[in-house]
Amino acid sequence: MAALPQSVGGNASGAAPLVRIDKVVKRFGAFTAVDGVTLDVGQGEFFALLGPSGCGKTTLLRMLAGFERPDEGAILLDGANISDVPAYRRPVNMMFQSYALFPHLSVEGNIAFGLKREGMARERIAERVAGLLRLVRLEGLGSRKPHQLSGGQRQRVALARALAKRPRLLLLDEPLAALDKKLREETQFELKEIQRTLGLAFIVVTHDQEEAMALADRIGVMERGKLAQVGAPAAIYERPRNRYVANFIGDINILECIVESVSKDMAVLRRKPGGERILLAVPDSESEREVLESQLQIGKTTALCIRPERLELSAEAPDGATGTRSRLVGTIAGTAFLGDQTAYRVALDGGAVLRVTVSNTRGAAGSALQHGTRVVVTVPADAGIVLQG
Amino acid sequence: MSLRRLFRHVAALPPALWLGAFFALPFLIVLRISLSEKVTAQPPYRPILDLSAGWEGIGTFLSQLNLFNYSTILDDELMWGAYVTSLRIAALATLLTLLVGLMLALPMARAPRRLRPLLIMLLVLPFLTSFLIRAYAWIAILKPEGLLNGLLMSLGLISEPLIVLNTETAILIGIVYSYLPFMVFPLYTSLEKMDASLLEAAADLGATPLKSFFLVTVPCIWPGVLAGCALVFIPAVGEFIIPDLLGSSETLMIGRALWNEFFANRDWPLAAAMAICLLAVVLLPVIWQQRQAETTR
Repeated sequence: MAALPQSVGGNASGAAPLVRIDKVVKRFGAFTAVDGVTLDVGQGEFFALLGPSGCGKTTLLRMLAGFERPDEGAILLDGANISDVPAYRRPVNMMFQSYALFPHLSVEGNIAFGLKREGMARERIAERVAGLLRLVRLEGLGSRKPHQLSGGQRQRVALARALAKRPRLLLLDEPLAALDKKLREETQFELKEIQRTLGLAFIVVTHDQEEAMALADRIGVMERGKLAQVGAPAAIYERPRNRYVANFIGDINILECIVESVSKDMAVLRRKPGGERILLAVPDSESEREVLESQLQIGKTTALCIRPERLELSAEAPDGATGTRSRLVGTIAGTAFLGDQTAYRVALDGGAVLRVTVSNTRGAAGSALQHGTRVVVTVPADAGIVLQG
Repeated sequence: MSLRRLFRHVAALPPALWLGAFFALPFLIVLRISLSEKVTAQPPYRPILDLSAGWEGIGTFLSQLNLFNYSTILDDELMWGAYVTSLRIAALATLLTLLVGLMLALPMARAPRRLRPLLIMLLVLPFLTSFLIRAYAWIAILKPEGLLNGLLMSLGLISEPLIVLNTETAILIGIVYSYLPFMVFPLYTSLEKMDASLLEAAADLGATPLKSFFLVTVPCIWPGVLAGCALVFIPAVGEFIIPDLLGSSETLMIGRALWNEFFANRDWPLAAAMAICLLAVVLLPVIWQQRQAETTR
């Protein structure tokens, strides 16, 4: 499948965006944390900023909350520039990575903190707090102090407190990072459900690509202060823009190839070490084909990415290349049984190591390929992704 | 297991012995003197415990002890006044020290991490010189022809010298200055321990910086506030040298009154009773503070 041109930033729907981040730059001394980011987030959208630590995602979030001021550019909420509005006057709330629960206040006191600052009537506060406790399933724990709660319960209090003022936009800084794996997966679904029912816009910062994909409508992958790619999880997974995004989202094999020929429906690549032929289907759609053709220039080197689960593995060597399948011959160099799937490392005869995962739909115990087995890796013609960068 | 328990008991022995030898025993002696009568003799109090008379001697000794000195304190308005003045000045000084201490500790705790040791050293540095020298320095600063008045008059802010020395104000300045580190350190320690994201959370939820301070910072550093106040208030109540050097004879604090009874009047029993009362007065807020600390925990 070919890479599509994707506008960095852009809006999911045609409606006016809730948040517009316009060419925002933030420097700390000589270090540029956020380097000219432009992004729109729509009403009710669940957006994930994804990247490794130090990529600027948290700084961007803190500028949205009002804890940092952009050096250049502007942040607009509902069309109004809020770049200079202090945090305590923004209709935006944040859930902190450390939760930042007030240790001297009860669960109810924490949740009611923002409402009291608004001067809301006592009865209405009690009502709202009770509703939020129900929402995050903490009924009956309202009078506990934060230190009397488990990590998962504290996370829920933090969420309820951030939701209490019914913000237009909720910012979540690594909301699930402190939870163990099992709890994290359960909470992902709850978080998504809460976001959907309340219809709020969520912007979540995370370094966990699985979490980003599970939660978000759209993901923005950040690299050294810039947005490397913005798009729906499936689009980013299937059509990463460059090597960085491809590597960051899921596992990937990258094969260096030389372009041999490009015809109407098929491109022929030759692997650089090894020299095997790899066929790549040219898509039917006019625009996609044009992009692919611009990327594939005959005689030039290109990086072909293939997800490990798209490769097929077989022990016996079938007859030569037929149809739209390319074959790479190698030896099993490593096996890891992961339960639902088995991951193999295949050392190709011509050099380079491929990672191949096989679903254990029929039970793997008997059929696992042993170390040293000669194998054929089949590359379906529509499995390859050509990178832009 | 039993060996370990034994070890634990042995380990508790040195502090117990220390407290016994240097607190409990002297306290009992002072208590016993406070229940005696003043005489012009050596030692200047009566009764004397005569162990050679056996049990009978102990009996007569105990029967001669009385609460006369305590009733004297209760009846004597001057004495009462000294207690009230001491408590008032100590309380006011503690409050002022807290305010000044916060003004120092807040920026210190927010300073860049590498600067903090330097700031702490700068705070401690003056206290490496003798306490008396620093007290006398305040006399030089505060006296009518001193540095403060000289500065204010040369700036044209005042035309007549301010009378600060030998007033209550001078005592307050002296106490605040002398006890400041004891306030700053507990405050600084609790401020440094405080999670900075709590203030961001407060701002995020709509609290102005001032509200955040009172609603979040103060409750979070409350143990430090109490500790600092105790460390200033307790010695300030019984403070002797600062009021003696910087104050006037009109402000009679309990330290001075005690000194008078002990050295000028040689009334050891009354002085001892006054010391016991002072201890009781100071102990009450400490007990209250302990209670507070336990409930907040």
